[in-house]
Amino acid sequence: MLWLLMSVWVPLGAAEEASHGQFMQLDGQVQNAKKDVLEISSGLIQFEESYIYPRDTRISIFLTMNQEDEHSLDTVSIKIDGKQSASHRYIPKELVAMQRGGLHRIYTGNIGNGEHALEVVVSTSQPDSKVSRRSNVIYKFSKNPGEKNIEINLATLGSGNPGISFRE
Amino acid sequence: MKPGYILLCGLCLPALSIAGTEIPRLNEKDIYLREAAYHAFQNNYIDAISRLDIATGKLSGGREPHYDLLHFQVGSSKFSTGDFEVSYRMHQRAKEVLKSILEKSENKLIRNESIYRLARILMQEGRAKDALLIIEKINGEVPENIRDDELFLRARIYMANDDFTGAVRLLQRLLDSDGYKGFAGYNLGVALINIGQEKQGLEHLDKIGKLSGDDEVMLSLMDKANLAMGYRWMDAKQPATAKKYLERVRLSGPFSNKAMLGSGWADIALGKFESALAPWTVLAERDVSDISVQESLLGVPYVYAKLNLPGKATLLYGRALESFDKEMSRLDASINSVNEGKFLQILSRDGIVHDENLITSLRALPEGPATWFLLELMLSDDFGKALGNYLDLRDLSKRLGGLDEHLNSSYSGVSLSDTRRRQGYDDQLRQLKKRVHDSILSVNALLSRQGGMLEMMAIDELNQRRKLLLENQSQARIGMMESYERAGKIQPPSSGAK
Repeated sequence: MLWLLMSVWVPLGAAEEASHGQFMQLDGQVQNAKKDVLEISSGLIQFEESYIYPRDTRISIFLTMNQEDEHSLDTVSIKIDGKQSASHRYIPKELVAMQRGGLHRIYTGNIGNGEHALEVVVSTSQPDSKVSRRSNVIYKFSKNPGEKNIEINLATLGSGNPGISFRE
Repeated sequence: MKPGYILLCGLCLPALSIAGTEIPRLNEKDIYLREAAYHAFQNNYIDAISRLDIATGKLSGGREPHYDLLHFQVGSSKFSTGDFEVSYRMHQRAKEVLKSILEKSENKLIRNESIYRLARILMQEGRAKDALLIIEKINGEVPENIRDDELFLRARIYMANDDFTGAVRLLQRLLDSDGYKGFAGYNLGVALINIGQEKQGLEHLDKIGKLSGDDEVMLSLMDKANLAMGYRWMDAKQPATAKKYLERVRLSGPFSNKAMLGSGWADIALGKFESALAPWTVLAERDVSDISVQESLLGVPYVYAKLNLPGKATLLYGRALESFDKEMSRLDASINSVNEGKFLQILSRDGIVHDENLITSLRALPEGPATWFLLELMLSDDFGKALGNYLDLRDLSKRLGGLDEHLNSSYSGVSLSDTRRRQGYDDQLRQLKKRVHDSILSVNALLSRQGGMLEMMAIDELNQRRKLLLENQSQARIGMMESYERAGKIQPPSSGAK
């Protein structure tokens, strides 16, 4: 019933079994290697949160976008209290990831308690245009003991007047 | 999300607030989930899973995370625990996190869905017996949105474990399902035939064979059903019936070559030699690397020989031999290319990424000795997974290189006044550096082995084709000699006598 073999599982010959067995063994080792790297990655996050950016002084800035826009986001730069803190040039798949609801961590650092100013500079351009627009906004916030998280949301990017909002 | 502050661009103005708007505050779990999603949407699964572990698991002292959340939503995308791991081919870990939910949850629907997902992973790993043991643990209902999925999976598990009777009962329930109509019908046909109800089975396959529409998946299923029935009737020595089904297979689909070959053989079986030329001459013009095409290159001169045209047959056997010789050179060049490492070099290019566009990027590679057979190789499940692993290892190696540099350069200026904190910091940094170093050695060793396996799979495939081609070359030579002799015997005498 050769024709039925097209639809159900085909048993492997001896050589193929051996080869499949080798593949499965190596596949298992690759999965373990990925697990190691995953644990290293999680370990690094925990290490940084414990020692480099301890909770009491930690500030993290995130970026997200609400919707697709004919204008494209090029770069976002941020300054905290006048000091350049981060700058990121966005590639298309990062933009799509944010438009789908994902959150990009653009900056993590340390600041003291008190009043601070966050300056955000957004560069955008239209498709097929070399003209780029820049917009900058300042957001004032207070830092108290404990970590500070600020989300920057870009609602629309067009017409030189992006709708930028903040959430803590 | 309502904006709390709207700011004017281009001017450094103080922030304005909009009175009366309630702004939900950010919470830590939400941040990590949305960060995880940001990375997952870009297929950056190490970053996605590590954030998810922090968001939904309870990490302490290096223990495994314990998940208590089966689903979460980000934007309009719904994720299930284990999905990221499965996408990143970490099936072991996916099973571990699902088991942790199973252990923790008392909610029947969540437990049953976790069992379903576990069974699905086991089937993906080819462990049908284990999948059967686990799916039988479902107690009561599963969530409505996966009800049909669970039934279909169960039916596949039963079939893989030779319980075709059980599969029939389940598949009959799916015949009206929007998501599974065609697949349920096809598998029901196969299952019925396996329990001896051949007439009913063939009726179901016949229905599938008459599908129409634009959906390529359904149309491929239709072609597969018609091809299967065509060859079934050939086996049963009913070539006229076989031809009816084979002619339903699309000329442009993935099964067209096999169908045209079968259609020609049906004509031969019916004694209609000239009719066999119709599908076989079309087939003979296609890519000679395909086995059906090679057979048609031998079939066409065979027909002419049967039609008592040995001169034409000789010529066409000669052409077949030329095509086979060219193909043999191409195969040999490919084998050399793989042995020289060019196959792996091409696969290691940055443009080849393990995501949903992998096939497209492989197709876009310039045609050459090291690449033309790649898409054929991708039809093999093991090769596809092995290539995925190779590309993942390549990316892991780069990532670890970056981490090594980061750990050695980024923390030199850190000062901690507290002695115990300083000790903890030094210890952890040292451990991280060691882990990275060990991982680099391990990943690079695996990369080499995985690359070696890919080369071995490629060589095996090319050697198998070579072996078949040698047989076909031999048949072409024999056919050519025999036709040449016959052509000589029936040559009219020369009219030189006066």
